Amino acid sequence: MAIIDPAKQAALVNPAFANYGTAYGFRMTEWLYGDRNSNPFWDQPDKWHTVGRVAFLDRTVTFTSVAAATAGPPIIPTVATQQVNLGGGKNVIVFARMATVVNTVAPVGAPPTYSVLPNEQASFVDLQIQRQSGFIDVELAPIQNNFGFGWKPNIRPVPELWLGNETRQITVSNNGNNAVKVVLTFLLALLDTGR
Amino acid sequence: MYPDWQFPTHAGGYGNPLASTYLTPTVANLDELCEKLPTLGAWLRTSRVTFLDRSITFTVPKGSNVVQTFNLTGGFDALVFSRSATVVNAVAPLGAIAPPVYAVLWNTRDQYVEIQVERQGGSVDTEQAPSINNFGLGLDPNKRPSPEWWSGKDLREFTISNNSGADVKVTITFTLVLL
Repeated sequence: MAIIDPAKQAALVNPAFANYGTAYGFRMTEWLYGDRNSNPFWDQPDKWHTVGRVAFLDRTVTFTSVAAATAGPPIIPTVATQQVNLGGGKNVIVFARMATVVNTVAPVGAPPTYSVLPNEQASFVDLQIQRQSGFIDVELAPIQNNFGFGWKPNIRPVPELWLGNETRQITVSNNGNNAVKVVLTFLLALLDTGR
Repeated sequence: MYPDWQFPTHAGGYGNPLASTYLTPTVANLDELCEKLPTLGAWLRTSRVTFLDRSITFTVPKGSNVVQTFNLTGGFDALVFSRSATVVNAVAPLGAIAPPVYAVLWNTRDQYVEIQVERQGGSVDTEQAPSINNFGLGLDPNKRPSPEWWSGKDLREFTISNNSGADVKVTITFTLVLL
């Protein structure tokens, strides 16, 4: 698609992205609406306003159970991987990310005693995210370093533009002494056309 | 605070939209700029700006220092937006009963582990101080007042001092952007 005259870009910014300034607001709009996998009018900007809507979605990736590390020395972490495409083939924009790490076995008791948050459990589970092309988005580090919670998400400095045809491999390494369930949530935007 | 330049409208602007949140360009002398940077128009066709959470990990015995030198950007110029660090015991907790009990965050362990970051040229970016002074966590990273410009040629020496009573594993993460 040809470069659109900057004078027209402002008029094409989707209201959902109005707070990001004209330049990036347009880039975000173009990222979703100019994607041929999302929009039948991907190459006709004058018709974008007739197509669907920008929808926000909390997409989740779950590692149901990652076994405890093998006690050392040396400690051998247990590794689990998943290949994901968060947009289902569509371009998406990622705004924030959250993660929880809990024991696979919930506490028992009447009533049970739950650990206070935040605590160090997520510091003993490392995570890496690597693109299909090989580029590593998030180098192996404790989940505590790179993910937040619902009440305090890890908000990216600038919303990230993720290609629809690129899968990502998420690798979780459990260095702790008990099996854990890891749930990652990515807050993202995509074009909802009802398709 | 920011350099003044204007982005030619005929090319949709040379400024990467990613930067629009951080600066508003205005122009002094557009013609002079184009003369000095004839390849400006090619910028639009080169790759894309990408974010990366770069991490480095240290295992530091109790009462000792570890010094390592890195080029975090792999030789590329980069912008650093924020930084986080975790400090944990080198060995995960066990429990007399299952499951183990994990220490609540935030706690004072991070105050016994100090970090200094010094550039190859001798300039100290981060003077020696407890990690909790200068680094955050994923849920609340230490965001720089303005993205920092790191030269691709610069090495940085990290000094980790463990003044606690246990061996620790320290992982530092920088959220940076490069081309």
